[in-house]
Amino acid sequence: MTLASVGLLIGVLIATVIFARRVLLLVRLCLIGTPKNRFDQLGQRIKALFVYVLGQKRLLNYLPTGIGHVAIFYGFLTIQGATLAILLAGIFSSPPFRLWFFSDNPVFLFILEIVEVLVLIALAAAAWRRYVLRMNRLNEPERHHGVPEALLILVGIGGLMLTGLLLSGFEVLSESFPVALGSGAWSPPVGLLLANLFNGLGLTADTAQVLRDVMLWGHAGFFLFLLAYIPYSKHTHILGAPLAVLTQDMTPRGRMPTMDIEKLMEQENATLGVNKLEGFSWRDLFDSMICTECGRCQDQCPAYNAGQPLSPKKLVLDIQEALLAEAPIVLGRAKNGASADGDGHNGRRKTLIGEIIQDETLWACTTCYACVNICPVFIEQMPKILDMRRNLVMEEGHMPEGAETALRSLEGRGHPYSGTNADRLTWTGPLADQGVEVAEADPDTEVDVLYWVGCTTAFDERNQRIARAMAKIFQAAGVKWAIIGANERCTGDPARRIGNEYLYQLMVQGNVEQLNALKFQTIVTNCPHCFNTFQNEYPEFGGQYQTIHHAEYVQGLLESGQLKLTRPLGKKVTYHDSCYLGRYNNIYEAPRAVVQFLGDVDLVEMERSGQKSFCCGAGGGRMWIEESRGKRINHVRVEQALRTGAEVVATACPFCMTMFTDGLKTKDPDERVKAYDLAELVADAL
Amino acid sequence: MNVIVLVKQVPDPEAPASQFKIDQATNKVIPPPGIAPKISLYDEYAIEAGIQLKEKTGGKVTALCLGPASAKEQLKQALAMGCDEAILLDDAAFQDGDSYAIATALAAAIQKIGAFDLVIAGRQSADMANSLVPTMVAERLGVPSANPIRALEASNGSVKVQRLIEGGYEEIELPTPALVAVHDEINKPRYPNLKGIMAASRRQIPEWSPADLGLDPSQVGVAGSKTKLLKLYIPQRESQIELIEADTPEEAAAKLAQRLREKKII
Repeated sequence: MTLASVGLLIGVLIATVIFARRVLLLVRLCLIGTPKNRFDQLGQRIKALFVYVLGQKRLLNYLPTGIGHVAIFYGFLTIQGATLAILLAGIFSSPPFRLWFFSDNPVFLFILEIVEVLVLIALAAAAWRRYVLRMNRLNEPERHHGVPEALLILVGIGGLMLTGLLLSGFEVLSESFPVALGSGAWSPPVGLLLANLFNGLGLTADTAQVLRDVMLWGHAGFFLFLLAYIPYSKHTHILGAPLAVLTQDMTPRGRMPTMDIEKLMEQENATLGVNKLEGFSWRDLFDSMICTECGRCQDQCPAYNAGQPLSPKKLVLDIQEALLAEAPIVLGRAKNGASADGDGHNGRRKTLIGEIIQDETLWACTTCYACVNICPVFIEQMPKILDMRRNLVMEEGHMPEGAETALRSLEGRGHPYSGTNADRLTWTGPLADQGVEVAEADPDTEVDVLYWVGCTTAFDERNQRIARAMAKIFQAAGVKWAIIGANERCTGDPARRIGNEYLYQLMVQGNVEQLNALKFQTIVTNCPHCFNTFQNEYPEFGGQYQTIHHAEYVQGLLESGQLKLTRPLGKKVTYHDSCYLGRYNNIYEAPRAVVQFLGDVDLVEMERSGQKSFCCGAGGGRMWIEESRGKRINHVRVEQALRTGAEVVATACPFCMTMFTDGLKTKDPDERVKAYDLAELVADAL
Repeated sequence: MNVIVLVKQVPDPEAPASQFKIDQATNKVIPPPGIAPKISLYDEYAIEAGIQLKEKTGGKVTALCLGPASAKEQLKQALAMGCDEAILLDDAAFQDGDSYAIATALAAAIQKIGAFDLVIAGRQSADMANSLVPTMVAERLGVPSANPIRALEASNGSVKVQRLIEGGYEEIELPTPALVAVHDEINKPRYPNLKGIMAASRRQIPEWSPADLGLDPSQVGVAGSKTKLLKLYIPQRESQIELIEADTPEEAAAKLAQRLREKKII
């Protein structure tokens, strides 16, 4: 062994130790979390690796940034082969390191050089976005304490690529390289180009030989730097992302994890929900450590965009920061419990809710799922929020006044609307004069459709029009339908999403009992929240019902010709995707198809639509919680709708309707634009 | 400090008006179907005040209610919030008593419970709103009372309260044992946590009859009442609409102002 190879070996060992120490710490920190099985359905999970790691599917949701990532991802993978070859050659053979194995392969070298150039271009673009455009979502968190983490990574990867290319150039010039390819000598294209350039600058072959060695050392140096630094940086995602993709949540999106309350109550010191770091599952702790700080979640978050006190990115990074800061205490390595770290903690643990994460952050969430949906490394931001809400509500009894009023009303009245003048059947009043009959379900009569009206449709005066439109549609289609009537109760969705799992389960039991006693083919509801709860959550509680949201139901009636529209709408329409219909249940096409059926329609999309739709602001209990800071989310959304120039905003959710109606009052005082539910538009066109 | 809180069950004040009915023959409210009765509004503040006193000074809080068996739900809510004991006065003989008869029963029950420092009640019930029972109970017990209060501070052997008066409040000190009746400014009733709810749901609530209180059935309920309810009815509200018509908003406003003046509304 030569001195150089010994030096290189020592470098590799040092970098590996620094790397391994950190990775070990991160693994140990994950393991303080609670168990969660994320290794079932292995086939599906492995398939996901191909789609989301190799296929980079989530990255490509953000263009053009995503393309840059694909270039860097594949470039980084490709160059690992060459770099490893260089390192191994350097350690096991004499200096200057001889290229080894497949790095002698011209096809590989050709690809390698192209990839290196592409990566450099992508890095330049990344630097441009970060330092020239200063994109808000890329803001670096306080955790970095002034360390220019992103810059170090950019320089590291850039250096790796640049030394690789220069190496090739000097190699060609020093004539140590030409590789026989067919009859003539072959040189890699960029290497040849650079060699010619250096030659033109008067560089001799001897100097090139020296510079080539410098580049080899530099290349190895950048590689070892990255190896050591990556697990300390946001680029931990390089290591963690595949595992995150593999261990993603495979349950239906709309199903919140069920708590076994009886079992919890039997335990002496059981915690309800999460109120400390180790109360999170290992998966939650793990994903908080692999955040790439790309800020896509923040960019998508309606609360953040309205200036409210929530950034899903900051939430995750705050958990990460606290976890790392409290690692010595958490892992029991702090001496005497005294000053465990130099971070101002003074050996005292910060409270998760209140100090690490603010209460108001938790209540700013609309549960719209945009953050989880967009995250390229499958971080589960929103479920953490809901876990903490559960603790606040069921253990502390702390929540915004509006949420408490809604819960108290759900407990006593079976609906969240405190102070309403209406009762569940008020909406049927005007129908009698219009010749529409409304029947109440009874256990002895089987109906085709049980129309689940839902509280927000039944109690809100504006939304009662949606119920009447539904009644007209059922009648026109000749369907045998019924409602439950005065005894209908909330599905429990708001209770669960506000955080009162106990109340939720009580309500589900009551509803399942009532529904199981009735005879019907299908539940049809115009509320995506009710729909989601029936579809995804009730089966777990013995409530197996065929449930259809009215967008799909009406689409079916229109397509089968059971429902015929006679009056074309003739307007420019934009459709607002409800989160619980779109992102939660993947229903994007049906409502748009219904809009097209209206006839003579110019359907335009808002800047945020489909799976990137912007929440109306009412989900997750936010319907009842006053917005204390920032703008109103519905105002932001209404502005987006107004920018399309549409005359009609079509909605398919009573919450969205309320938010749009209120928002339009402020943002469109001239009433140029009107919000209508799909059912109303269809009923009017009959 | 040992506290006894008086709790009343009332029909949900937010039951839709359309479902609010009165049986004219018996002069009784027919409970709205499917809508659970609730704790009378101010009584929740009384419970909270009692629990806060206990948290500060120790002792225990007993919730006491005169009502039907279903009122156990309200007492369980009181237990879930943090009361230590709950007692229901439930007997056919107690039914339909006026404030006087109710106060007789409650005072007897309080004496049976034994040593207490403070009785806390809501300033008035959410349904009948007579505001008589607290003062009558204090009278029967022979203790000083204040109603309605907006702040309460306990010290050794006395409580200092702020009693609401027209346009302000006065500060009074009452030697204990005493009775206070609270207004909703006094605190914010807590949302019971799940452990409290689960523990309360398993509790047995004792039911006391007049005999348990050492009372003759003729002293309580209708028989023990001093007043007689003649008629209970839902007032008929009539509304008339008058449309002001004018060509311009200014003219309409002027006409409206004039009409309002004629009606002596402004």
